[in-house]
Amino acid sequence: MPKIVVDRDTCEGLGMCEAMASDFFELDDDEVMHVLDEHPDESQRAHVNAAVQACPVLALTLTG
Amino acid sequence: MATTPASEEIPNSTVPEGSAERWKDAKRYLWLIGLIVPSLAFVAFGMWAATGWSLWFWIGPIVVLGAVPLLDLVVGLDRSNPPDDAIEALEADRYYRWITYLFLPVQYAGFIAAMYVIAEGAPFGLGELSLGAKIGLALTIGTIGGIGINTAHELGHKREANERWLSKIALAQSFYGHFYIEHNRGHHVRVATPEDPASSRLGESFYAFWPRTVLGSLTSAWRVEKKRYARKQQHPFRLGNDVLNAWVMSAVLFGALVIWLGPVILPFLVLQAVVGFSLLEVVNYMEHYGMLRQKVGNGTRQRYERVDPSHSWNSNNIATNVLLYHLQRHSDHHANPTRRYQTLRDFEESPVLPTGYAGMIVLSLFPPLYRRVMDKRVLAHFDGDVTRANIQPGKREKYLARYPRPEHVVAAERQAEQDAADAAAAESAAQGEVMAARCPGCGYTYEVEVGNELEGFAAGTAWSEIPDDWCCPDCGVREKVDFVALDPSAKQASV
Repeated sequence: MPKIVVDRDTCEGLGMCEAMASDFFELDDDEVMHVLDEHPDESQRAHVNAAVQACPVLALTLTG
Repeated sequence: MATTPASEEIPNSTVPEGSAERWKDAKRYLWLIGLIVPSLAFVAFGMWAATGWSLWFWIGPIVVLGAVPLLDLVVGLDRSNPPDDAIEALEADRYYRWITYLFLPVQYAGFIAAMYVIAEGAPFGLGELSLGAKIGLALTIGTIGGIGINTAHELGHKREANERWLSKIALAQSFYGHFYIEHNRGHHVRVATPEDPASSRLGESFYAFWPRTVLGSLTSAWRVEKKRYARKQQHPFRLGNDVLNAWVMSAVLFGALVIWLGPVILPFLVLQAVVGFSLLEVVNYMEHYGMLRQKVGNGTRQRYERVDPSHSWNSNNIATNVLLYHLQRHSDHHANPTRRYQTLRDFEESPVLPTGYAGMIVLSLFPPLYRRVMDKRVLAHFDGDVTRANIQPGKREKYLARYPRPEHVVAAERQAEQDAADAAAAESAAQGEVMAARCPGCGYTYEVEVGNELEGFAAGTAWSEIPDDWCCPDCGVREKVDFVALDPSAKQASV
């Protein structure tokens, strides 16, 4: 099962992931990013992966 | 069937010739043409030496603003996409990235040579350059620097650290290193929104866009880096700050050239840098003209819809595509920012420019002409509804007056508003309706569900239908107006 992993030291809360897949990533009012669902369904892999790949600071990985 | 299953085990099965061949990139060797651009400086020197015509020093703008737009019109379109199963191999083929790496040494050799020639005159006793020739040469070098920003753009999006560094080096010539920060971490997130300094608005001329994007990019880049350090509770004035170290790189480059060649080159250094980043910004100008991501969600959690192919202007004109490493397949670039240029695809849904970016650059220098060509295309993209476009704030009224919203759009919106109002009214009625009321004197409870046959109220008679002067049937003291409505959920809980 795919799992979203965030490198918290690298994440800058830019919101690219939210812009690409708002059903999995959300920025709060302090621009801190929250993963809404760490374990996306296999059918959502491509959708989540697009957001992971788009991260400008390479803070996201999709494992499994 | 025309095609027979391809299998050696089936007798009498012939595979049509060529059908099993692997997909080949028709543009594979065309990408080398991109290297002609940085070589233009040397073409200029060589042709000037051979003919003595100073006009050759103007070759940069002549090629990019003249020859390439003409080629786009003559050569035509290429809509071919690599098949899905070929993409991985195509991405991994290092040949393509070496073409972008090679751009840099040629770019810098030309840049340094040009500054030398401007300051010291041509080598081999070929003599001094006239002021016009020097300006032409600075424009040519600036044009190369501008196209170099496009190369830097391609490199700066990659996940490999060395490519990101090459990106910054390519930007040093134009003193635009902060672009690498702003573009990746600012523009890509806010693209096609009013907040993005690098997305132009409907009705905004290039000359209005230029100061907004140049200043906006600068402040956006600085803010991003400042925020990065603020998160670590550090001040941003350190060499690790990618905006600062990129500027230091430019300052060292410019400083070294001035020390070597003298302050005489300073105006030309500035001129070529301004031409370089302006060329980038004019391309930025047309990439998202008028495009707007709609807001989704409700209440305070509103955000912009996700970026999709409909938010960027594209072109399949082959000449500019080869020149700019498929930058014109801009929708796929925004959908997949790390994808390498050779694998970018053309999408049906993307709005398409009437010609290549090179031709559109020329058009955008003449705002009335540009608006004449583009505004109707923006409007068509939004099905005639100008309010769905990203409109220049000061021109909103003018655009609404010039392009009234189509009848069917207004009617549909009115219907939607009416439906929403009806639904809300129905809901509040349902919530506000009294389902049971109790006499405060004796405690008798009237329930709508039950009614009161003796009083002449059939089961289901609404509380609102009972006359105001009706008295409590049990105590006969209190009237309807004194009755206390019961919370339906509380009543349910008690039942």
